[in-house]
Amino acid sequence: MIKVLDINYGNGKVSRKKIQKAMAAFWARKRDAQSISNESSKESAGLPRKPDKAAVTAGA
Amino acid sequence: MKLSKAYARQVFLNCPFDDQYRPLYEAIIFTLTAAEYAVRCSRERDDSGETRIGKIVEIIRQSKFSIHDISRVELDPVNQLPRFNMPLELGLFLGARFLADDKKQREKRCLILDAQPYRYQKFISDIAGQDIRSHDGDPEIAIGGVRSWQATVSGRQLPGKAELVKLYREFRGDLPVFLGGIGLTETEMQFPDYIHSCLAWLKDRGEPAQDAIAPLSD
Repeated sequence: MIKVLDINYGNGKVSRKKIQKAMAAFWARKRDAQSISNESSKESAGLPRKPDKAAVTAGA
Repeated sequence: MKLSKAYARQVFLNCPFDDQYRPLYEAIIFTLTAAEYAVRCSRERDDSGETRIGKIVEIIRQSKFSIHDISRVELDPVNQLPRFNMPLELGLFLGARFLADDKKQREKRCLILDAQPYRYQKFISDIAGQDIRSHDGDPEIAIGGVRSWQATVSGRQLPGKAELVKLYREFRGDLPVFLGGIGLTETEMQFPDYIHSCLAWLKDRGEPAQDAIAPLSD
């Protein structure tokens, strides 16, 4: 993980806290989208899909 | 006055902050941030109780490194006069380095950027002998120049140019979408908004590029 020096840049139009929170949400959405896209690619290539977590639990 | 431990990780950025130069300064800020440096500049905070020159002098004192872009030599279209702030601030930095009694201040190092190689010899020849590189107005050339200068003067192992460019392209692709989510456009974004976005994006990405950086040695 990147090591950040604690420099007080003040706030711009948007506060630092709001940017940090929004970026965490942005990455969560981006990773979800990437995961769905990867699954779709596997499916179109005829590879088995990653098992659904709920289905695995129910089956067990 | 005692310097903080962060001295060796602070880079004073002295460049134009207008829309025309924006692609270059955004690329430079991203590169330095990805290499775990703190970028300092006159735009970092707005304190009406502080004179501009006083603020710049204090940032220079606190920064071991600096980058000065002297490429803006054209005359202002309105008043037909050149801007002298960038050469003035370069002079302040060199003065702080060469006239200092303090060993740490004498260890200061700077990178001077211009648009074309050797053009500086025609308008500021006294800086010959400093580390001067050209970027041709291209952000990706600027990324490579900043990266190799920093790797040389710091002795740290940094991600390669290709890796930094790849990261930066990904960040640039994400930025408008991210800003849209917080109700900002790129033109409205101020220096703290941009640097906080860079920091948060790199941190949340958990990127292998950061793993390639050698441990802190200061």
